[in-house]
Amino acid sequence: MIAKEKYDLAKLLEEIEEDEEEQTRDLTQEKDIPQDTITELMLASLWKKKNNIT
Amino acid sequence: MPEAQDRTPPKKKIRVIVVDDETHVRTLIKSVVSGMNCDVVGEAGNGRDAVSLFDKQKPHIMLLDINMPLKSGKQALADIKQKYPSACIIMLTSLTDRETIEDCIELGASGFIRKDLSIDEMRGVIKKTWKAYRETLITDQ
Repeated sequence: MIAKEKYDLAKLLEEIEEDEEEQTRDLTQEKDIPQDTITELMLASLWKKKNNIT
Repeated sequence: MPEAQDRTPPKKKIRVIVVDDETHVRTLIKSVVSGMNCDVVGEAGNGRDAVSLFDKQKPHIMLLDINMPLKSGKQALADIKQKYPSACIIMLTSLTDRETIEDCIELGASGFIRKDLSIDEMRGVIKKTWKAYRETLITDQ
């Protein structure tokens, strides 16, 4: 006997598309970080190292 | 009577090395730093030459591209920081993804400049980085 499960394919496809869109948005944000954010990260790292050692 | 002389000692210039495999980018960066209180004491077009030039010149700041032939900027950064932990190295790149930035922080870069900034913006980032670097400087033992 073959077990049968019912899937709503349209819903599944919709969810997959939503996931893909979300991932694309995240990657885009991560790939083009503004200079101000980069500078903040770099300066925070300098201070963190200083504070960890002293 | 002799003229009064200005006895204020001349402000010491910051010695800079510029590293990028593209000549026009080096020219741009040299013009950026020459408008500041900096002397460009050397330039290189790949990571391998960058490391040996750092050894030779021991500059205050190295502006270092990431994507380069022979040795990448990240590898050159790692080599220099291993030998000179307090070196001030500012990465210069078009790659502004979080992974690249975090890698450079991990390897000990002091700053990071996007190549698409204007000259004034680049100068602003260099000044800000140099100030923070000096304030947080831990000398090599």
